[in-house]
Formats: sequence, structure tokens, C-alpha cells
Amino acid sequence: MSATDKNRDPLAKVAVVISFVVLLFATFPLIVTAITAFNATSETVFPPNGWSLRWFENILRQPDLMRAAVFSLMLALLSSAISISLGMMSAIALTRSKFPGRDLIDAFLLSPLLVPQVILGLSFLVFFVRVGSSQPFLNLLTLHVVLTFPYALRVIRSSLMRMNPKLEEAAVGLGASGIKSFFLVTFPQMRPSLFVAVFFCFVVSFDNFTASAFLTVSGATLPVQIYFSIESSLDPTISAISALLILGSAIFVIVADRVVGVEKII
Amino acid sequence: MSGAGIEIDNITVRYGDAVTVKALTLDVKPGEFLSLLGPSGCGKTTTLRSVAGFSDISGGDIRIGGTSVRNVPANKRNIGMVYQDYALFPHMNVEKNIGFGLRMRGVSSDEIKQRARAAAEQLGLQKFLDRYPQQLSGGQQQRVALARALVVRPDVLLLDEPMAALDKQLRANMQFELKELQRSVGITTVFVTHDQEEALSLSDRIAVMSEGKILQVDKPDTLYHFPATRFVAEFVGTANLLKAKIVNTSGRSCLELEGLGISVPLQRERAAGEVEVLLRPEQISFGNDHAAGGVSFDARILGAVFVGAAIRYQVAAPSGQILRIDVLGAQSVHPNAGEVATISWRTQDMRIYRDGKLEE
Amino acid sequence: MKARLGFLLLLLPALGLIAGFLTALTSVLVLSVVDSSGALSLESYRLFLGDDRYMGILLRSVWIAAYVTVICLVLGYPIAIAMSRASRTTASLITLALAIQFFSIYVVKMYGWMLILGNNGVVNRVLVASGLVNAPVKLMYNELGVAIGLTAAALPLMVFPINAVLQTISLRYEEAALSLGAGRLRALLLITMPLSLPGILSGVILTFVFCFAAYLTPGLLGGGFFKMIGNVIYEQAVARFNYPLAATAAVITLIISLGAIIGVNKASQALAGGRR
Repeated sequence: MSATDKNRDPLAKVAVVISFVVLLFATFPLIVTAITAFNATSETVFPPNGWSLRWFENILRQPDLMRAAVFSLMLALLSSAISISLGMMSAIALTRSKFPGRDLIDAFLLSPLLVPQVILGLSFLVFFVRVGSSQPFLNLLTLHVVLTFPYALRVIRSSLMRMNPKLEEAAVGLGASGIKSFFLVTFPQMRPSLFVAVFFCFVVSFDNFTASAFLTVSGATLPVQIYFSIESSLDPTISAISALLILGSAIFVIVADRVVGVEKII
Repeated sequence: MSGAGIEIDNITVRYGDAVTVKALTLDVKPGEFLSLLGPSGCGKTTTLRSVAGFSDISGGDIRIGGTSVRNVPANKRNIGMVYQDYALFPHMNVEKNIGFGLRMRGVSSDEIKQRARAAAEQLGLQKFLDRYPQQLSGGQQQRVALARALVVRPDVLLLDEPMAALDKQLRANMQFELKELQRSVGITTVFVTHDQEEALSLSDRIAVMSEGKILQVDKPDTLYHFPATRFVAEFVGTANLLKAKIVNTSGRSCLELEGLGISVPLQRERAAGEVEVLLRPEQISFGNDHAAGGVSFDARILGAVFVGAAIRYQVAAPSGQILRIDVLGAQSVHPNAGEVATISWRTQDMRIYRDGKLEE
Repeated sequence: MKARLGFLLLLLPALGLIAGFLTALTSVLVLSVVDSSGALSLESYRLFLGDDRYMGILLRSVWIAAYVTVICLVLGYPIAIAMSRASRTTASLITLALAIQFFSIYVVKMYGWMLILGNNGVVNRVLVASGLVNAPVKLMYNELGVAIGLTAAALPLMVFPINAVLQTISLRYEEAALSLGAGRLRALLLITMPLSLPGILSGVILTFVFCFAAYLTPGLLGGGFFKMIGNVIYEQAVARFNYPLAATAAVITLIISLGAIIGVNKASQALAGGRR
């Protein structure tokens, strides 16, 4: 019944109109960026002076961009894997047992979410300078695990909290061992939340600029590399790689919507 | 103040492709307490919501006090509404909740205070004015909802299953209070419920609904004793329905009860054919008191349950048909399960249904 | 007892990780309160707070974050209303569009704004072509450009929490208000908005902290002409190797951020006080 009730609300209609206008404003840069990637000339302008695909080809001739893309991909995959493993272990510990100070530990583990990115970045810079670690990949990996772990923990923990522990007990009652019952009963139910956790971890890591910029003066990650390329030249190659990234984000979100529903990732 | 009548004139309500209310016509008289009774999904709440202005009607008209409200938005209809979950504003205390309607009508704050307090007093809420809804019991919340709806002196009061969330004891008390309140205020009231006992005890008239249509509108006792259709007979009260056949021989009609070998002469001539006979459980009794001019036969007792004032028996007729019989606890005859006992009823208590409809 | 120990072992790696992070954070705090010889000193704070340039940047960061938060609330509330009140198809279209915008790469979004707001950007081309102006208008490398970029980047941070709360509020409350004579607008202002306050407050916190400590947006759209506190921290640390000053700015930023979080939480508790 609510569907029709909703249609009758004139304020909702006004809200929809405002939403479309504001969303057009918010997504306009993405549209403009994608279209300028098809410029025929080396001037990045909208509307384009003519059409070509040469700037997409040109991405392949930019070793810095290519290297940064691979670097960011590896970083995102590895940090997501670590964060999700840690997140799953911590979430199980926090939801399947009771001990004093549990809420405090919970708040402690989620604390990186409260700290602005610039301060996270500075903290790790100071830390790595002090310990003398000059391994860009390892340094960034540590930073990205700290950045993504709270998301993994939050998503997995809330899914475990909603789950009925009686099911696992029932499985144990039926003769399964504790570990077996976890993998046969609990784990399959966790799959949607694991998907959401992977989504968040991957996007947070791959997209991160602010904190990472403190650890990569040379521009090791893709967002940092793009940032410095923007500062140095306004050639449509940046538009081309941006267009690919926008397309990637859109596919990511649409796939997530199909798999778990978009409301789970916002 | 006796309120305004409601005329629901041939309305149809659609949700998408589904029609939930079909060409429904119903008159509620000024000051009347009318219940819309039916199983869930029968369209009773939709009907109420279209009177309130929350469901669009795609055909027909609704008049309150003789004026069409078809194009009047909900907030201009001057109605009082009480919901199943009361929908008390959680961020306002009792006094603010009750005064909300007056505030919307631009009443001065002094008068709001005075009238809200008076309404609270009428419902025994004077001690709770500063409380918030979540600090009140279910019964108190319902009183606040009633006070909030009535304080604006609406033309009609619409109640959407307001008792459903209360436990049984409290519900009985609130029914009594509600009836008293409605009588003293004299406001036209439409009450939606799926609980037939509640409808029978509260209403001046009951409209029984099924699948978007009204099957019967009548006073509670008429509805109980003369249900217009087989559906109403089964939905209101408990029904024993026996298969039977009407046979005409030499100008006289006889009712032959299937599998019992009993033939009952009827008062007037009826068309021959298959029919069903309705008997309420309390109309059947043990012994053969009604044998003369009635129906009587031996049945096997299957079991009995104690239902408070009465004992309800399940018995099997020789035909195999199961009948339910209510015997008042004070009555002396109490056969045991497995025994065979004579049962009987009066001819005039039988109602005859042909194709599911009552035959006068 | 044995089981409990097992669970603690499961927690250990994560505890170690976060403890490491908090150690790093603490070392920043320590850096800000010692001098070059390692003795306790508030010299960095005296330097920072006594410098009109830094103080100007700090206050301007608070100010821009405050008004961008207000703009995001005004623009974002109707979106949250549409997401929870519009028909299912429209609502999911809006949600999907906002999610795609939100999950697009931050640096790409800001690059897009440079293509729109630059001297040779979309807006100036339209303005010049239409003859409204003779020369391009300065739309970025100033406060305006940074404010636009921050608004676009922070908008989903405002909308999502409000939407989450609105989804849980029964439509019955609004209906009850209508049946009592309230118009749609009054039902929204007096019933729905107060009930969605928890969502508004989390949106305000997220938006404010994100904008206040922004670095990327002022970096690109301010272009060195309009700096925020994030730029100061980055420059002092990465370009000047002046860690004590960067640490001081960072600690001040952290205090203001946490102060805003605590302040808003306190305010929400005070507002909800009577109900609990």
C-alpha cells in the first residue's frame, strides 16, 4: 500500500525535482571529464573540438600512470585481504564471547575512523621516518590496512550480530565441531556482508589520496600520480584514465546493487 | 454534538493493477458506531483510509455531513484518526501530542493548554501530561491517541484496529471505555477490526467485508442470527453447516438432511434443490426437548472443551458430519466422550442457504 | 576460560595494528610539545597561534567547513526525503546515481571541477560565448572553487546518514499529523525533521570533519591561492620537513574535529533529554 501512498505526497515530488537538479550538479564533473577524454586535439575542453580515441591509447604510453595503476591495484587487493581477515577474526571475537571492556575494545579498533585523513597520513609519515622504513609499498600497505580495517570490522561485526548464534549451537548439537559448524553454518550466511566488506576495503584503498600522499612523494599510487599529472599538464590523457575510472566505479556500484542491493553499501 | 454522517457512494480504490475496494457503497448515520469487519486484506482499512483522505478513490464519491470530500485533502477533512500503533509523536510529550491538532488550527496557546488539559482529564491522563509516549503503557498510549483525535472536535472518528496491540484483559476494559466515550461525545465513528467479538460488542451496526466488497450491513444481533451469506455465517460466530436437499411432493416442501434420513416439513413452499442449513452451537441441545416440531437424532460424543461459561462439544452425526454444540456449564446433562447421546434443535432456528446466500 | 583465551588470540593482531597506529598518532602529539633538544616546550604552539597567516588559514578552514556543511544539509535533505519517500524506481535511481558519484575516485571528481570552473572551462566558455562577460571569470583558485568542490564531495556524507534514519521512520507519524490538520510542509517541519535529527547530526559531523581537514580539494581547486589547514600540514611535513609545526597544526586540527564531534553529540543528547 505504501507505494501508492508515497506517490500522493506532493512534497516528495518537489524533493525528487530538487534531487535531480542537485545530482546533476554533483555528477556534472564526471560527465564532463568522461566526454573531454574523446577530444581530437591536445586541448582538454568541453565540448570537444572533435572526436578521437587517441588519449585512451596514450594511457598505454605513460609508464608512470601504468605503473601507478598496477601499484594501486596490488595495494588495494592485498590490504583488503589483510583487513578482511583481521576484521573477521576480530568480529568473531567481539560477537561470540563476552568479556569486560568489550565495548571499549570495539571503540578502540574503530578509532581510525574518527581521525581525519591528513592526520593519519602525518602520523604514519612521522612513524616511518622515525623507524627508518623506506619501503614505499610496505609503508603504504600498513597505512591502507589501518584505513580499511575499521570498515571490514564494522560490516562483518554487524552481520554477525544479526545472525542467530543458536544456529551454530544447533549444528554443534547435531555433531559438527565448532570450526566445522562455523564453516558450514555461519560462513555461508556471512557471504553478503563479506562482499560489502570487500567492496568498501577495495574502494577505500584504491581511492585514497589524502593519507597516501604523505607517504608517496614520487607518486606511487594512481590517485597521487593523477594529482601530480593534473598539476603538471592538462592533457586529455588524464581525462581518458579518469573516464575509465568513472566507468569502473559505476560498474562496481551497479554490480554491488545487483548482488547485495545499493542500500547495503551506503 | 452528534457528528456528521458519512456517505460512501460507489467507491473503487486501486493499488497499481489490483482493485482493493470494488464499487463499495455504505452510509454511516450521524452519531452511529459502525464497524468494518473482515479478514485481513478484505479492503476494510483501505475503505477507512479513503474516508480519511489517505487513499485515492478512482471512482465514486465520499460525503461527510453531506459535503463531498473527494477533492478535499486529508488535513482539511476535520477527521479524528487513531492508528493501531497510535502513531503518537515520539518527540512530543502527552500535552503537546494532544494539543497538536489545535495548534494546526491556529488556536491560541492558552486555549490549547486549557482544552488539551480538559481532554486529558476526560480520559484520566492528567498525571501524564509531561510524559513522552515511550514512557506510557499501551492503554495509556491509546487514551492519548483518542484524546488527540477528539480534542479538535472532528466531524467523524476513524479507528484503525486500535485494540490490536493490547492484551486481552486491557482490551475488554478499553472497549467498554471507548463505547462510553463515543456515546457521551456522540461522534460518528467508523471502527476497523478483524475481531468479530469486538465488533459485536461495540457496534451499532457492522459491515462485513470480503474481497473489497460489503457482504452485509446490519445490527449485531441481526448479523449473528440472520447472516446474509455463508461467508458471514462462518466469519461471525461459530457455524454448523449441514448439507440438505429440498424436495417438493404434492405442493409441500420438505427439507431432507443428508445422511441422517430425517425429513423436516417446511412452513412454506420452496424451490427444490441442494441447500445448506446453518445452526449456531448454542441452538443445539442434548436430550430430545425439541423433538416435537424439531429435529432429533443420536450422535456420538467426540470430545468436549471448557470455554468458560459454556462447554463446547464436538459430536459426530450418523452421517459422519461433525457438529459443535455449546452447553451452558449450569446445565445438568454432560455426556462423556465415546457415549452416544440424543441431540435436538428447533425447526425455526435453522437458516437455509442456497448457493451460499440466505433464503428468507 | 580456554575459549575466552582463544577469542583474545583472535583479537590480538588487530589490537596490535591499532595500537601501532595510536603510537604513531601519539608520536605526533609528542612532536608538537617538545623543542629541538627534546625538552617539553609549547614553542610550536606559540609559533602557530601567534602567526596571523596560520591563524587566518585555520579560521577560514573552520568557516568554510561550517557553511559548506549548512549548504550540504539544505541540498542533501531533499535528496534523503526523495530516497525514502519517492516511488521505488525513482528512489533507487537517485540512490544509484548518488552512490556512483560517491564511489568515484575523489581526485577524478575534483579534476572534473577544474574542467568546469577553469578559465577555459565549461562555465566560462558559455559565459564568454553568450557575451555576458568579455574575459573569463575567476571561478577557481579561490574560495568559491574550493567551496563548490567540497560541497560536491561531501554531499553524500550528509545524505546517507539522514536517509538511513528516514527509512526507519514510519509514514504513520506524518499521516497522523495530516489527519490532525497539518499541511504537508508543517508535517515535514514539525514531525519528520525532528524525528530525523540523529541522522542530521551524524551527517553534520561527517561533513564538517571531512571539509575542515580537507587537503585534496583546496590543493587542486585552491591551487595554492586558497589554502586550508590540511595544506599547511602537508606542506610543512612533506615539503619543508618542519615536523614540529606540522604536528602542531595536526593536533589543533584533531582537537577541533573531536571537539565538533563531542559538541554535536552533547547537543543531540540535550535535545533528546526529555525522552529518555
